Amino acid sequence: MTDDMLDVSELAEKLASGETTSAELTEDCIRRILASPLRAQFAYLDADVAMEAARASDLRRSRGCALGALDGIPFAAEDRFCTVGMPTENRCGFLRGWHAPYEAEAVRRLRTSGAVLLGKLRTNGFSSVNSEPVSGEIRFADWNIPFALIAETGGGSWLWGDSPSVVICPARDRISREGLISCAPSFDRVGFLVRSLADGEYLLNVLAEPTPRVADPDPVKLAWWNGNRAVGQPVPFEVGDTVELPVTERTKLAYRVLSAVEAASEMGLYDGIRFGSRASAEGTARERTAKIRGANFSREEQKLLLLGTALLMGEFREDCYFSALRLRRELLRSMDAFFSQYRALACPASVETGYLAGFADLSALSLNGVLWMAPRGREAALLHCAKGGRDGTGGV
Amino acid sequence: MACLDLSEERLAELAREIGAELTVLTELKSDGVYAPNIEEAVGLDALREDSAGNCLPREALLADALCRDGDCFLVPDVFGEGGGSA
Repeated sequence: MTDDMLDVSELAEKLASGETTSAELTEDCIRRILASPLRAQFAYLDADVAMEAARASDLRRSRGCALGALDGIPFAAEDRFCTVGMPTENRCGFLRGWHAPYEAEAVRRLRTSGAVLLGKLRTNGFSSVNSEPVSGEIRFADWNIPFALIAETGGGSWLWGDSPSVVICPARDRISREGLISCAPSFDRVGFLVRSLADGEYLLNVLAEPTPRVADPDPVKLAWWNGNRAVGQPVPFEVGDTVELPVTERTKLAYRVLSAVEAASEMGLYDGIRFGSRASAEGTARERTAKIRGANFSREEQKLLLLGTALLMGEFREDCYFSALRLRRELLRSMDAFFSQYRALACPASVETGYLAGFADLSALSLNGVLWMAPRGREAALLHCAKGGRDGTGGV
Repeated sequence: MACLDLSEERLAELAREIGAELTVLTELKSDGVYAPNIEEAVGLDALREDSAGNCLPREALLADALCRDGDCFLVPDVFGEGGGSA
């Protein structure tokens, strides 16, 4: 094996030509992960299960029954996806040691395409709504895995899009959320980390639900938004306009309000009786639930739960929650009008801009520190624009 | 409302932090904001006069009940004797 991890299309070629086998590839991935600090990125790593799946893939290939280009290629999934045969904990005390009785749809599709699940990647739990990446210090390019299935909520994932890695998250439900542990349902999206735009296109074809294609505007133009930064960043393409968006500090506040309310609502499911761990506790049903929840939610989750609950009470319901809903609705309307004039929007990928894709329900892609966004159904154009931006060919 | 049992120290700590955050979040308040609601979204008139309409016969409603007691559904106990059994 080479020292550098190859992308999916290169690995598929090597597997098809017999230059390598899935067992060799999987063993190499596991060896490199275990021998480096990257082991800490994994909440769960199962070498035996992965090797068994890899050997089954090799057997299929030797009989001429390979399931497709992904057959035999290792991948990892964030610990927010339910998986059969591995625990699903989402860094939540309530789910410690929980084995889901079913598989998340996105994982199921990959596994039935022959891809080999190595293990589960660490998450931020319900605090994923807080826009922070799980670990910003280690680049995905150094992770020694060909691709990873991720769930994006607060915009923290976009910071992984550091050359040559690409983060792609299509609009909500373009990739099924079935079997995903939800943090904030109207913001949660399923996406992936890959090593090239070509891999991104291939995985979109495998994972995304069909949707009507959205036509490009005429004339085709791109827009650059500097993310309200005082000092602008050089625009990564020549054709297009520098624009101002109706996205202000109030928009960020609206995201904070809505995501906290939704996260609190999701956490409400964990009552320690019908759902979640059922530790012994004394008292009435309510007292028991309160004790179990107090013991199983982390400090950050407790804060989120209290904040989300408070935002639906008294004057905060009117002043914050309804104002945030209205602001989001107005922004969605504005973005519809915006994308009737522009093919795609680019801006610096940062915590300050990352939440916008989820807030406005846009398909998005992060590459080389630039976040590209386009409406649902225009993903092919998005890949094309990002490629153009990267190669300096204009992107249209 | 959050149904969370916390130590007094933790509660005071979180109350301080949440209070500060709520102060910031109330900057979202704007005049003339009205509450969007599902009735508006689906075009229902929630303030119309009540009127009697057709409904299913009781027997049809109870036909799919796993357990029943006369004209009522029987649901499993959650606590106490027999808790968790159907």
